[in-house]
Amino acid sequence: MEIMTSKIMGLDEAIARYVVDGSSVALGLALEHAIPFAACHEIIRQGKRRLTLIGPISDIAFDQLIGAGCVSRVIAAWVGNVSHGIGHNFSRAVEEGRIEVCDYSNLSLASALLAGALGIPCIPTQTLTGSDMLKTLKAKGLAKAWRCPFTGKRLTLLRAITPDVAIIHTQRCDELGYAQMWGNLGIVREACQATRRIIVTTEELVSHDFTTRDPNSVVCPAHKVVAVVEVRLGAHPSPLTGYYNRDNKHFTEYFTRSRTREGFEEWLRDWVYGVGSREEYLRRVDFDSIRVGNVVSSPVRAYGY
Amino acid sequence: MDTRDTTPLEMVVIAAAREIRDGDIVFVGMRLPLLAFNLAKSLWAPSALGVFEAGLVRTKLCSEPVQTMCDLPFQTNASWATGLLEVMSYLQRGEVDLGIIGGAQIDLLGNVNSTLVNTASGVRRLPGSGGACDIALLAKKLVVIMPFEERRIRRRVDYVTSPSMSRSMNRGRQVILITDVGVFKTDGERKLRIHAVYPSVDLEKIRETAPYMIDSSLEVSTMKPPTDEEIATLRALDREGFWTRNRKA
Repeated sequence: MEIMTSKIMGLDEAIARYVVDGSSVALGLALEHAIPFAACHEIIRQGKRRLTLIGPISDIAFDQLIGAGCVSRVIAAWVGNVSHGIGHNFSRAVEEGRIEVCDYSNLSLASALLAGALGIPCIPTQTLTGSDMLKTLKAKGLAKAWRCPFTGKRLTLLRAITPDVAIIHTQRCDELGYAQMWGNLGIVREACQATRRIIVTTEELVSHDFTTRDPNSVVCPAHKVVAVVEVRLGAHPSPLTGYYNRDNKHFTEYFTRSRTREGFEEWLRDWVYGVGSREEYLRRVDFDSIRVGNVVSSPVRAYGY
Repeated sequence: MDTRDTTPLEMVVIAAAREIRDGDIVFVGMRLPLLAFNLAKSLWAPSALGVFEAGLVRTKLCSEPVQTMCDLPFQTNASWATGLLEVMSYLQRGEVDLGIIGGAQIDLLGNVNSTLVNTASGVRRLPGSGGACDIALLAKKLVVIMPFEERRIRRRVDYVTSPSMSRSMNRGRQVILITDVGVFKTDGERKLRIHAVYPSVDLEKIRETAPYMIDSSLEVSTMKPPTDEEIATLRALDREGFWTRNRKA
């Protein structure tokens, strides 16, 4: 039975098989939390091209993929470096006309993905009205003015967004793709419903017997999960609730070094191309600075009959 | 406490905090807006509820330093950890009393730009809206924090990321601009006018940069100086002065 087949594989195989040149990839879906950086770096190493990136606030993940030449189009609400503002690669690429940007706000992007999740072609929203973002989205055929037939209210209709693949990093996942996540969730659940395929990287691979003890924590429909990859510190330098803090120094180093094209290329050599294995990457991380010091744990919920 | 050495950024945070009432549901951004929220919550708005776009709602004060709303001190002891749509829907349902945003430019009508600016050497691309457009359009009251510089305070912004209002929404809603020289509020014509200057700030400085924001028929007051309690609490919250003492406005 297809749904009972184990989906566990290596990160290289998952990205090689399921992130196809020219496809649309949703990631950074929990905003600054749990960004699948290890998967992003594998996309860069494999030299993927012409990707459309979809995500609300991706911190420096989108900036890295853009700088590495993997991206031709961005559908986002905010692209930069949350500690410092500007994402140098993103700004350079837009200013030089190398990528197309579809600017949304957080709520409008989330709503368009919700429409995809609901299996409907479009959805009304009250945001964006009067903004220059709306003008561009209308020109691109992604939004239209609309009058509600029930109330007569003027609203905007957003076209549904349905990514080809979503990549998420979660605390736990089992071999079937039941991924469990906690802390803030951003638009992880909506994007996982809207997308055709899901790649899960996870801090801890656990058994299906284990995930069924807490099914309320599952965030995605497992039948769409095509790959489950155990990656320790897979969200570093972003934080993962209960596991590690944000590595703020890393964002500052990246901001400084990516100021120039050459500096960014050196950064890529140090942190992406020159890293032969996950063990090697982990050796470079100052784990003490991101270790969770003040653990607050809750008793497991009770289910039963 | 001697308040004469108060920095302009401390004044900004205190002025923004004074807009928050106890019991308000507040949509809060990081950095200065978060400090303002924490200050109000510590002193006069203990039951203000902080709503954060990543999908967090906090009743408890988080006084640990954080760079993003997803940092673990912010996740820990949250009142509700959920999704972006759950919390941003508070806005669309009209349940948010106050939203605080920043940006690169603001204009006479209170439109905010955080997407791109025109410079002598061409267009400079900035990160974009994030949740700012949603907050600007859908919160009952909007506070914008911005340094008072000629390149930022404009007659017309280069790009409207966050409209101050639209035809169908928020008629008559007030926009409050808080700068490092004083506080501006929208008048009956929905235009931003100087409302109060900080102690020791000369109105001429405002006239030089944005004469169109002075309405000579309106009285301009001097803002109530910060209290010892406000200064002491703010300095305890920004312990190392990272946000308000060691950087320029």
